Amino acid sequence: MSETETLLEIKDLEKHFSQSTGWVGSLLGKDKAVRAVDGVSLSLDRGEIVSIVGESGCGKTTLGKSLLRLIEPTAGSIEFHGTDITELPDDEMRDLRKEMQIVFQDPFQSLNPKKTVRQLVRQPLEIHGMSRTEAEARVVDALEDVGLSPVSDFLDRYPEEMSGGQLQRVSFARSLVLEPSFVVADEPTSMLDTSIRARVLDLMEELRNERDLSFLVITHDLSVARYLSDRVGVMYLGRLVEIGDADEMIMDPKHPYSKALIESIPSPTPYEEFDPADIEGEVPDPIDVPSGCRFHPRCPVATEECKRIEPEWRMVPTEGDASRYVECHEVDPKHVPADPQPQ
Amino acid sequence: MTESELMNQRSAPSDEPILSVEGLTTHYETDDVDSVVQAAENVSFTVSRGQTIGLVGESGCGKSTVGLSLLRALPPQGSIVDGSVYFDGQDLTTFKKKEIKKIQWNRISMIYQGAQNAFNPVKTIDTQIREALAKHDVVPKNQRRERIEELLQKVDLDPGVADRYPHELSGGMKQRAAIAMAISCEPDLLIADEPTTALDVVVQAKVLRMLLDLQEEFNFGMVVISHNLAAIMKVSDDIGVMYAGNMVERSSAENIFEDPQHPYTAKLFGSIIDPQRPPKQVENIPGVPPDLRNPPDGCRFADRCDLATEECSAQMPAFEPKNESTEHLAACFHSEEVSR
Repeated sequence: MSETETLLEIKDLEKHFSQSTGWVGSLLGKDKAVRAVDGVSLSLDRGEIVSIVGESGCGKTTLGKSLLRLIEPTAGSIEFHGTDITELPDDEMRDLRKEMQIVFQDPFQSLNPKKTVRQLVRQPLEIHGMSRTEAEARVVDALEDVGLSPVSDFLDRYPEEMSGGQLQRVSFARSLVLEPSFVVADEPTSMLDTSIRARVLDLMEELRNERDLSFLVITHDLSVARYLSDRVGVMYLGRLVEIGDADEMIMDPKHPYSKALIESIPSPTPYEEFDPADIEGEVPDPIDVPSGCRFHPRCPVATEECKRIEPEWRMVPTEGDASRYVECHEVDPKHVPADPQPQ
Repeated sequence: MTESELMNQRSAPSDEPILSVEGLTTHYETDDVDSVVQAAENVSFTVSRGQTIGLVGESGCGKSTVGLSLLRALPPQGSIVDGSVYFDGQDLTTFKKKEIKKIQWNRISMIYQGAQNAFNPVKTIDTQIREALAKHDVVPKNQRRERIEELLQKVDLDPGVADRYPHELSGGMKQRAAIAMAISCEPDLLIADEPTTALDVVVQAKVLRMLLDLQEEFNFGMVVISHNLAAIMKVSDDIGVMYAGNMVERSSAENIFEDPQHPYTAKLFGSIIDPQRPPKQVENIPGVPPDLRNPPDGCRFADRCDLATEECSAQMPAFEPKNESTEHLAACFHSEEVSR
């Protein structure tokens, strides 16, 4: 791969939803904010695949949608090719969407069942004003790129005539026709049976290798994250609590929550006894974010400090070569200042 | 044994299987009167007390149909057309639905897929568990509350959860409450259909561990149905692999893992990623399972199988012992060529 070039850089991104407590509550100033994404900084290089993992309600899907401005972030900046897109007017943002695409989890829901594959894949091109003949050629190319060949077999099919794996590839083709440089893939394989999942994962890898495409993969599945990504970030209650090299991170997680997440995955063998991490309770409601470190009520190593003081985002030493950032007081308590560049 | 004896008697611990399913075949009617969905064909397995069989396979393989057939909980279009389900010596397929209800909770409990939604939304958890306890009169009336609180503690829930309504609980808490209810009358057999699907990973792990610990304590036999091969490996003594309505392989978890005899089993292992040891290449099985309204005559996996020959498409291979062991069965003409 050529030398690294930062494609996307987000700083202190926030998305708060307000939850109304009714008009009496709002008069009394009791409306509360759901802090779905609560200050996330992250950068992504050209041709890099980064996965964000976490449990439901951690804010990972909201993060994916807000960095394409499919939902408007409440605060923070998103630099794409060096331009902050949070303030871009709608028409410029629409043009930029060619460059930034999203693939959703459930192709059965995200693809209109009344349209053929040809129409589905052509639609984004038409929206961006391309002529039908020119569009047609691109549709064929895109379908070939996602491995739906011979293309003529698929062009006139309707979604119900295809398998989940094939449909998910149509979703990818729809994103790729516009030749984006960045794609958010939201749980790209979670609706697919394991036996056909590999085809979609390998497709993403190919697209990265051949087109230098960058992916932000949002997934609850750590095995997908490790298989596919260069780096993995773990989210908890709206914060990125750890990020690092995919292999190193999974073999040697530092944050107690990352550890719990990784220990919770059963290995597919009949031998080692299953002894998952013993962490308390479940993810709290993002409307009542705990004080200090937001993980402290469930954390096995929490101290008094953790209840009061929010931990800083800092680089920590690891056995591996890649840099690792963690938000935890207890990981190597010797303070190492964070790199001024957000990661 | 009469039915009322079956209902109340607790059989003495023995190596005799508590459940023995023989040639179970379940079909669903379709809108077209001439065609049926052959959802489960000739499925056989046994479970003893304190033992677990895991039924694993992908969507549409018939594993849930088997689970629902055991307790005759099939939707109206479904019916058992052949085979037997012996529970403690009695064939449940000959029972009327009303008779099945008499043994539910105290002899067989089922945790349904999406059990989180199986509770009645307008009754508290206490009321619902109490109904099961009252029906079988396993605990005197004045001790029922105590028993309910004890059960909730066994599944790591606060006893106060008893007075909450289902909608006030998270998915993970509801699943635990469903497990508490399932074990409330100390059944001999627990059937769990996708007990961890739709739960977050940390909660999934806890639920799996909990099922193992409860089994240790109560010694019930368990049928666990899941698409998650890793989870199945962790909870099961025996594993039955299902594909397109057939059980294609069955043996101990160790045998299935070390020495699969059916190509689908081997491929399924190849397609999963162990995050602790990711492979260079994850296996993809091209193609899709056959339409079960009109399945092929031969092996149902043949058109996706690397090892398939003409023989495979012509006739269905018998589900027979492999490696000269009656403990390891598979339905494949090419077992000796299967490798992981």
